[in-house]
Amino acid sequence: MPGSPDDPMIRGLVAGREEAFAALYDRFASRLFKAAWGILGTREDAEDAVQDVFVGVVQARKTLAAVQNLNAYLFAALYRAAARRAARKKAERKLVTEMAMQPPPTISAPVLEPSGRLQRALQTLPVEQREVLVLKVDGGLTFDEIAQMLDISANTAASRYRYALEKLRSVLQETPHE
Amino acid sequence: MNDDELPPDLARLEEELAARQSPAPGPELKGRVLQAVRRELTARSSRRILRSSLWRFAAATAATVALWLNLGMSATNDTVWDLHKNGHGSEGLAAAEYLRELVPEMSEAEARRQALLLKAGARLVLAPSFNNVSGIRGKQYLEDEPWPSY
Repeated sequence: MPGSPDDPMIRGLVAGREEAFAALYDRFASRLFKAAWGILGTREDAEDAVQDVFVGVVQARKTLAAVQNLNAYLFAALYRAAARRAARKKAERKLVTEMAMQPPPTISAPVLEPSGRLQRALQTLPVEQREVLVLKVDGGLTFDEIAQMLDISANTAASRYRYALEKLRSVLQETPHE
Repeated sequence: MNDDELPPDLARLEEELAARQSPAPGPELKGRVLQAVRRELTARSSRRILRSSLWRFAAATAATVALWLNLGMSATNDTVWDLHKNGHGSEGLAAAEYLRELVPEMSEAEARRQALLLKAGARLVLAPSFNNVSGIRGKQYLEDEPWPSY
């Protein structure tokens, strides 16, 4: 079974074999990247977050044999990596603003690369709603898994998800089609 | 809550969101990630080797220190110093008693100390002073004193 302790890939990861990490990349990188891009908004940050996930897996590889759901484990790692990266960028922006002695920008959303209408609308959501939406839609996680990851109740996760979709719908209605 | 509870328009939006276009990760990302993985694997094994080396070094140092302490203690315990005999033997005690007779207000401990000092200086060799050619007298040369000219 993929992701179970019997999976040869998991055994390879625990043993620190590079080809196992390559297989893990082939299996998960695209989805992890899409989710990171959804949360962080830029390709560069998304790629860095994916790299952080793999480095984290190397560091914690001895514990992988006990992981029941590798998909949830990787998306939890991605969520933490994205949160760290977002916090670092926020601190950098604050520092730059302070150094320039200018008033802080009114919109703190990241500078977006050209992307689809949905992706741009996604970036207008509050980060806590965006995270839940991306983890559910791109990560395929259940509300229970998301709740455990974010240290909230499953009901709160579900509510955030619904609010996020409603907000997204209203943003899209206000945004003209391309 | 599950997805079945979503109204049709939100469910449709959810599907659109799942199918939204996303740029693929760059072709160089795999190489970069695997390089980072390799670096981390190497660094961890290097750290493990370094840690075990440090432990071995610490253990060897501790063993050496313990050995030298042990040897030092043994040598100290087995050495007969004879300090009493040499420092305050009959000769020293007699000198201290004599000093106390001369200076009664001197304490016994001070008299012993002075006797020891006198004994220590008893065998000093006198240094000749060439300035006084009529006779030899003891002179101490201090560091800042110029050497005598001939």
